[in-house]
Amino acid sequence: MKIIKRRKFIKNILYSFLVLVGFFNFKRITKENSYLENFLKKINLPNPKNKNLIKALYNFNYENYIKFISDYKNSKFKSPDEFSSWLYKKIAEDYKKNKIIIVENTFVSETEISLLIIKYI
Amino acid sequence: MIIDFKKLQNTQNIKCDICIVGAGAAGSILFDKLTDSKFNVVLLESGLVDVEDDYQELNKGEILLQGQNNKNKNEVIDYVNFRLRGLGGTTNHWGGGCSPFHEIDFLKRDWIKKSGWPIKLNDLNPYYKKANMYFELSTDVWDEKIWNDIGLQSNLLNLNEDKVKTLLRYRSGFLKKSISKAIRDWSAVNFKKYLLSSKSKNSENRIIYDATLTKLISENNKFIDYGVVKSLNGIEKKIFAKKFILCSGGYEVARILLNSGKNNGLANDNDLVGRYYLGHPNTTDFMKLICNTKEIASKLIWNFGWHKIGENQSMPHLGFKKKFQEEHYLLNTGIWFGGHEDKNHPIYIAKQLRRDLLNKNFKNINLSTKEFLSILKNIDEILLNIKRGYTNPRGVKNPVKEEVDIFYMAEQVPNKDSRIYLSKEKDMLGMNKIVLDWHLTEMDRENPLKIAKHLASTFGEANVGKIVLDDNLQEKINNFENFGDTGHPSGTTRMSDSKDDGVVNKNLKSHFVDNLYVCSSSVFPTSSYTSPTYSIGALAIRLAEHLIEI
Repeated sequence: MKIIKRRKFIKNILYSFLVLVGFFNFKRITKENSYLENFLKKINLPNPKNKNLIKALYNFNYENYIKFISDYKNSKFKSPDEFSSWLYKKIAEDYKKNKIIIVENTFVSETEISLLIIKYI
Repeated sequence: MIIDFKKLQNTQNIKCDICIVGAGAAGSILFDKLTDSKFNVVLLESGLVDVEDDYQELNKGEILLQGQNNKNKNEVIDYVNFRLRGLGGTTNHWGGGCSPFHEIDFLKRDWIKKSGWPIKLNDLNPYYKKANMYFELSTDVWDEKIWNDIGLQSNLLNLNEDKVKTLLRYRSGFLKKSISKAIRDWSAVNFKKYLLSSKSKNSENRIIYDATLTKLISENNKFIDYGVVKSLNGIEKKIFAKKFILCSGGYEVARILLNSGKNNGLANDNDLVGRYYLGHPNTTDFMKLICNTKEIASKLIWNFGWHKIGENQSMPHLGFKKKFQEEHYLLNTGIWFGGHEDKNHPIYIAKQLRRDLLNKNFKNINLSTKEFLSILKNIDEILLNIKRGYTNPRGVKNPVKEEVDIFYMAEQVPNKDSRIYLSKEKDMLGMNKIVLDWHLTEMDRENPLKIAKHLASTFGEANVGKIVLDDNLQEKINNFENFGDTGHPSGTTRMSDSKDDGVVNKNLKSHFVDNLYVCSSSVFPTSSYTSPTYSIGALAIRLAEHLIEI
């Protein structure tokens, strides 16, 4: 009986721990997503009406998009400001290096194309 | 002494040491500088004291674009109405834009064929300084320290200084009133005033109006024997001069020479008169800047708007650095900005309310509660703006929308096919009219897109905003749609060291005709993107001093 109770207790502890870890992880992901979501709301991007354009951009910019996602996931931001600052710097660097193409008559940087894909795909 | 050609008493011909043809900026300065010298000077003006429509008819001709009768040609260049005949010439209605050409404009650039002047900026700099007196500019206007001295920043938006530079261009004329009134009144210097106030000690020095020089007669095409002068009502006389200086502008100088001499015109031994016509390709419609916020847009428009600087007014613009142009094979290009007022902004609403109250337009006052509250909520910013209007030389900061118009103006690549030639049709005085065939090179047509990309990168890097292009941009440029010329005709009697490359030498004397000089934008081998008049003025002073010296 005692053994069963102990097992149950350990199980509960373990379960609570997992829930706690899961909760904080979930919090972290939603928080990071909201950073990105907020940023996407703020930034001035063209609005492609044609879905095929986004697919074409995805194919064209695939490598940069994957790199952007990986950079983004590997970075640990403590605040929305820190996140915005990181992203603005990245965008500015693209513009500085002339890494720009025309989308819907607007000059857009490589990183912004990745943001366009995230927003519209 | 100012005389009507029709009222010249005797039937004798006119005689003088120097005959200046054309009473615009160059002619007025030359007359003023030479009038008290050892020379007896006559200034001939085709129009009357004031500008009259009948005389404008003499400007009529034909326009072709890339050799074609393009449907957009009349929108591209209105060369009948922007050139004025009358004392003061085109300064009777010019915008007054003054800035010296840049160092790069005088250099031979490998990527621009036929670029390079026989003189350099340093050769002209002392004469720009002297020209300030005529253009009513303070002596220190080009001193770069001026930005700091009056509390301005030349790079308010933190744009990449390796790429671009904010430059000043002044409007000719001292400010006699507040800057807002001066902008509305458009009060650039009219050079007519120098002629009307001219008090020469030598009574033989004369300004003769209604006197069109229709041709120059030369037996051997090496020396001008005399000129034929006509008035609109049929009076004709000969003018004999030791030297003739043509100052009648980019079109008329070439037209007179092509109508003169024997066979192929005068000073045209190498078929260069009228060729290498240079305009200023420009457009307001081919791109826009969408600023990231209204605040950035307001800051930008404030930065690039009209400012009172000392006794003058200036509208800064953006130019590209010499090294950057060299690295990216750019044409020298100027960019100006224009905002759209944000009518929902509390400052705009408050200004409108003030205007209506001052003008007692009480009926117009229809302030909603929301608008009233927005004024109250933003009262600090409004008061700060009022204070700024009174205390800061840059004046009030008007709130604008995110969308900003961009005005593009570039130099044109010199090319032989861009030219003025004579039409078979004649005008009222029997002169052949001109055909202007404005030819652009591929580089002229590609430059706007290159500039747009560099602006996009510059503004993107500084987090200012994005460049949005017009639909079908390249097609529109190729078809001269919203892509035109300005009233700055240049290049048709270009200056060169060798007679194989030009019509006049560095002293503006013809390579082929001993007693012929040209002082006009027609001598520019390349034409920068800035207004030509200030440089024409500097060249006129340089020529006057040269003639007095020799």
